[in-house]
Amino acid sequence: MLSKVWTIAYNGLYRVYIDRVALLYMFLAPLAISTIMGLVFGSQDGDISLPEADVLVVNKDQGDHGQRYVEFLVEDTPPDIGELIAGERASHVNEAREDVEKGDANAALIIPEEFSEQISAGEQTAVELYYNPGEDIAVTITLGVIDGITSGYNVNYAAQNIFGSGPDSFFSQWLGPASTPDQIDAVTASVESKLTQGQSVSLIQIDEVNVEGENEDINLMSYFAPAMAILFMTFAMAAGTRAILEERQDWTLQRIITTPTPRWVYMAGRLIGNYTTGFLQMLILIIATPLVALVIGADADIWGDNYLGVLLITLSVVLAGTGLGLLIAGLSKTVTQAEQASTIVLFLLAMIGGSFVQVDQVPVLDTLSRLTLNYWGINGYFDLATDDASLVDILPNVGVLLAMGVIFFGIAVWRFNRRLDF
Amino acid sequence: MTAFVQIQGLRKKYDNNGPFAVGPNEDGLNLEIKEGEIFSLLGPNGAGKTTTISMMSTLLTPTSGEVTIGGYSVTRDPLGAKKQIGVVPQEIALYPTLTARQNLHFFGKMYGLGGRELQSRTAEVLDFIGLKDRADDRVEEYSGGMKRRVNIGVGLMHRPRLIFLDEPTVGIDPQSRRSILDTVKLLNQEGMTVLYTTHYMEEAEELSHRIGIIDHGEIIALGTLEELTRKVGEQDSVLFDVDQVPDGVESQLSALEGVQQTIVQEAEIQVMCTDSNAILSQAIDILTRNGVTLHSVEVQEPDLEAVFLHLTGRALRD
Repeated sequence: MLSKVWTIAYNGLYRVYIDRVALLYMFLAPLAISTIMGLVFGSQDGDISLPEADVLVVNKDQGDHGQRYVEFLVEDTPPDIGELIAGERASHVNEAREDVEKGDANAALIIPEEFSEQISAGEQTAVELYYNPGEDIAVTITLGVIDGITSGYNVNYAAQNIFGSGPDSFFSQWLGPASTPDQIDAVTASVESKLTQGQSVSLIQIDEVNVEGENEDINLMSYFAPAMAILFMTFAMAAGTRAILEERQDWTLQRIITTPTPRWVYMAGRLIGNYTTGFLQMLILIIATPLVALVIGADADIWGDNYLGVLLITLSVVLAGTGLGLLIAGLSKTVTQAEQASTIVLFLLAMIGGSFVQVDQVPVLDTLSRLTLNYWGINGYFDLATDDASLVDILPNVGVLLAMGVIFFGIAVWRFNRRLDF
Repeated sequence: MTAFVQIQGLRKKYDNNGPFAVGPNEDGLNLEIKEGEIFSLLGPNGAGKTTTISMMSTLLTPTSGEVTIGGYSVTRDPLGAKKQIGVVPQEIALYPTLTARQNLHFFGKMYGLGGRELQSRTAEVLDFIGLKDRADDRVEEYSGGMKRRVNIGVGLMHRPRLIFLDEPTVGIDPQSRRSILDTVKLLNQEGMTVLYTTHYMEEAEELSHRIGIIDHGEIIALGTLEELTRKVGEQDSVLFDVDQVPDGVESQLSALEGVQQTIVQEAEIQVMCTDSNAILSQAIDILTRNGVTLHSVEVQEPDLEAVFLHLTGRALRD
């Protein structure tokens, strides 16, 4: 019977292999779309959307300068900035950092003690922006706003470095209504020299520290490549399991049942064939996307180097995808019904699950997305690639995906048993 | 000849509250098919032919009753029963994107063939169905007749003792039909038992050793062609092709001496009688008096059509 299982599985695989449209759909489409999305959105400072960033402000300073940050970010935020940042005061540095690590906040701004005193004395100082690298868009927004406040101090500081007591006295000292070209050249050279010195010196630096304690670039291809791969994999799995209904319609299924082949052998063969197709599709995309990135000169580090982790996520996400496809086919009476249902359900799950936008930037989706295999798959791959996640870290993703697979399969097989009774 | 297939009290209804599609009477459907014969199940569309074959080939579970094939019960030992049979469904049950050879290979493996036996049997079947030269073309590129031949070939892969051919000539050209009928005869000459379902009486007449006429899920007549036509007696059938049938014509024709039955269907009047010569001039006279324009008159010898008409009051093709 095992040889028959393999024969049926191979039959399904082979028919996909000789179907050019299916190949185009399974491999080239996700490859092209993820590459385009990655290129369009760039890397770390990609601007997918402008969601609100939750920022904690820990002000250890007793003076006015620290308070200016608090007022701007928390107490008296200008309306246009308020649309982008939701600031909140926090008392303890460690607690704020923990909130960021847990994902309860996107970033924490830590203003040190004696911050105002150092500024008043003209001494260089720094604020710390502690952030989660997975929250790149929110961090970019926060950084931009904080940079805006900080640059006010830094420009004044640079001006004082260049002009001493100020530009007006500086120019009146050197230039008058009858200045000669030599005088103008001398002033220009002096300003250039001082500007060069001033550029390298900032009064307030922003130390960007992520939860791992180091700065990191985020390759958005690490998000969109798995997002597109999973989306198209689920469509391929739905098409594959829908083929069982097509076989019933075309009578090849009935013909197989009239041979000395039990019904379970048929189901096992079709599902193994379908699962293998999905696994190969993911595998090829995992190999191909970095190669495409290399060719177009983009960052080729898309999937990270935890190969076992990538394999585990792949095995489990394909299982969940196959189960979902089977469930949709099992609940449908006709091929057309299954086609329509899979298009609607899979696109909806992809939207909710973050295939088109990072769901943690949209509060409602952030919760709903956890009901989708797309979310657990995408985040598993993304954590492995950008966060150096360990196998233990991705176990929840693997577990949830396997559980989804088992539940989908259980319901679908029960439904399909009725489809195999003619 | 011994009975190779035994059907006892077979009944099937699809819906608990619905009618029986096969075996409406309590006795159900009872039938024996002898080893080595061509048995035709003849009946109009919807008579229950495909439902009967589906139960015999384990696709459908009978509501009640029993079918044994070569001693194997289709309900208690379905795998044993299925090894005895080859099924050629009415539909072209093939993978269109695969070649004829690949289809035969795949289904051959499903029948349990492998290795050299599979290779040699594939070559034999391709030769038998006359598609050796086109073996590696995709089935979707074939004509309707060629697809039908591959459809039959698949059912022959494991050299079954009994082959079910369910309306195998539907929708094909006369040449392909001739080829299929010859193939059926050849298979039978090689010792294969054939169960052939059709609604074409000419095919049943040409091929069958015995014929079962099925209507509304029950066998209403069973026997050889001669035995069945004898049921109609020495009746002649006179068929009048007319422009209209006014009220009263049917009763006037039925009142003629020697007329046993008059059947009116749209612009056709069929008169069953003991002697067509005796009633012909009187019948034409009745039609003329009633203002009927007569297009043609045909006198027919008794055949399966007449048998079906005699038994059901309806034409087989309805």
